[in-house]
Amino acid sequence: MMEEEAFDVAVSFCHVSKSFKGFGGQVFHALNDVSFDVGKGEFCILAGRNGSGKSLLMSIAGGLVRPDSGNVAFPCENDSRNATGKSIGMVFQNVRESILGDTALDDVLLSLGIRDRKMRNPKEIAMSLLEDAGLKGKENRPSHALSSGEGRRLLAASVLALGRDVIFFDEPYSNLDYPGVREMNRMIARLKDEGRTIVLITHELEKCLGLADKLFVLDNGVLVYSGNPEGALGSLNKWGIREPEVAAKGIKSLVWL
Amino acid sequence: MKDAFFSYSKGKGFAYSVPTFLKVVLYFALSAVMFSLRLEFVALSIAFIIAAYSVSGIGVCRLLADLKQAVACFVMILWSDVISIFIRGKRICDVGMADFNVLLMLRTVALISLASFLFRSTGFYDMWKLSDDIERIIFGKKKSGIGAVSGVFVMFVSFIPQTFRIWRTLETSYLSRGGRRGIRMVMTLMPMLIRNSMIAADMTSDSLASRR
Ligand SMILES: Nc1ncnc2c1ncn2[C@@H]1O[C@H](COP(=O)(O)OP(=O)(O)OP(=O)(O)O)[C@@H](O)[C@H]1O
Ligand SMILES: [Mg+2]
Repeated sequence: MMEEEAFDVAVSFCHVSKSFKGFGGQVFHALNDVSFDVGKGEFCILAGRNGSGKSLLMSIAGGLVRPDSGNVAFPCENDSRNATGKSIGMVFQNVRESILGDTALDDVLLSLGIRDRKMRNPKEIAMSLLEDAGLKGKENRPSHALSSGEGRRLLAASVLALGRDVIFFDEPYSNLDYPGVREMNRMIARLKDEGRTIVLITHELEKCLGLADKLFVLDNGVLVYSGNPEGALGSLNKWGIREPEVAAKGIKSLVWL
Repeated sequence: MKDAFFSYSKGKGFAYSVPTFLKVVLYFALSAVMFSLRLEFVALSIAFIIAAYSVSGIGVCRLLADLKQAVACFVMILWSDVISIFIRGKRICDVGMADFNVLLMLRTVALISLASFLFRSTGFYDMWKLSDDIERIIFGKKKSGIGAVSGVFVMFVSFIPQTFRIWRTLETSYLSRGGRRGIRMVMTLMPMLIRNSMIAADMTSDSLASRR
C-alpha cells in the first residue's frame, strides 16, 4: 500500500510515444510520452475510452509494434531475450484470429509445445487449463465454431499455458456473460495469488476495480492518471469511463466474483 | 456455423492416422505430378483420389463441398478463353488433340482434391509439430520457442483455410444485407477478401509471435 515501499518493477514504460500518418498525410499521435511502472505481482488496470491507445501500448510491450521513441523494460528479467517482450503473455482483443489451433485442445497444446517440447503429459495439463477456463467437454470442438465468449476464455487458457510471469488481458470481458466474467475474474484472482503480474485493459471498471492495486488511465494517448484506484473516483467521467457506483461497502466490492 | 472449406475437424479413419510428414510430401509430390500427366492419366488420378477419399474417414461430402470452389476456376478459365478469342481471334492455347481447357479443369479438380485431403485431415497443431521437428533436425536442438522456418510454414498453411473462412463471413454479410450471388458479389467482395485476409494473417502472426 505505501508508496515509499521499495518494490520490484516488472514492466517499465519509459517515455513511450507513437504516431501514425493518415492517408491525408496528417500525423496522429496515438501515444504521447507515456511513462509508468508496473510492480512485480501487482494487478493493474489500464483504462481509457475507445481509441485512447490501450491496445497499442500492449502491442508495444509485447514487442509487436516498435515505438517511435521511448522504450519498455522488464527489469526483473535477467534473460536478455526477454527485453523484446517475450516474457509477457497477451490475451488479445481479437479472439478469432488469435486462436491458432483447430480445436480448443490443440490451441492449448500448441502453447504448451512452444513452452517446452519435452513436457510430460501435456494433454492432462491442457485439460485442466481448459477446465479452469470453463471449457470442460468442449475440448474437441472446432475452435472457429466456439462462441465469442468461449473463444475468449480459450485464448486466456492458451496464454496461461505459456507460463509467463506478466500477463496482459486486452478487454477480457467483451462478449462474456455474467458467469463468464466471474470465471475470468476468478482466473485472474488466482493468477494474482500465484504472484503473477497482471495488466488488465478495460473500461468496465465496475467488474474488476475491487481487485486492482493500481489504476492507469489513458486519454488521447496521454497518461492522465496513475495511482491507487480510489484517487481516480470522481474524475473518470471526463476521461470517457463510466464512474462506478461505490456503495457503502467500499471500492473492494467493485468486482464480479 | 457450417463447415468452412478446407477446414480441419477431428475425425477417425485412415486419413487421420497417416503421419503428417507423409501427407505433406505426398501432397506436394502429387500436385507436381499432375502438371506433367496427360489428360487420361489426370482423369485416372482423380478417380484414385476420390476412391482414397471415400475410405479415408473424412467423408466424400466434404470433398464435394471443396470441389464447388472449382466452379469459379472453370468460369475464369472459360472467360479468359472468350476474351482471347475476342481479342486475338483464337483461343489461348490450341494444342491439337487434347483440349487444353478440359485438361486445365481436370488438373484443378485434382489439385483441389489433394488439398482437401490434406487440410481436412491435418490440423494446425499437426503441421506445427511436423515443421518444428524438421527444423530441429536440420538446425539443431532447441528446448522451447518457435523457429523462424516453422513459424513461416504454419502461417502459410493456416492462410488457406483462414481465407476461406473469411470469404464465408463476407458472403454471409453481403447476402444478409440483401445482396445477390453472382459476378457482382465476387467483384465487390474480392478486394475485401484480400484486405481482410491480410489483416487476419497479420493478427495470427502477432498471436504466434507473442507465444514464442
Ligand atoms: N497501425 C495503425 N495505423 C494507424 N492508426 C493506428 C494503428 N494502430 C492504432 N492506431 C490508432 O491508434 C489509436 C489507439 O488504438 P488502440 O487500438 O490502442 O485503442 P484502444 O484504446 O485499444 O481502443 P479500444 O477500447 O477501442 O480497444 C486509435 O485511434 C487507432 O486508430
Ligand atoms: Mg483496444
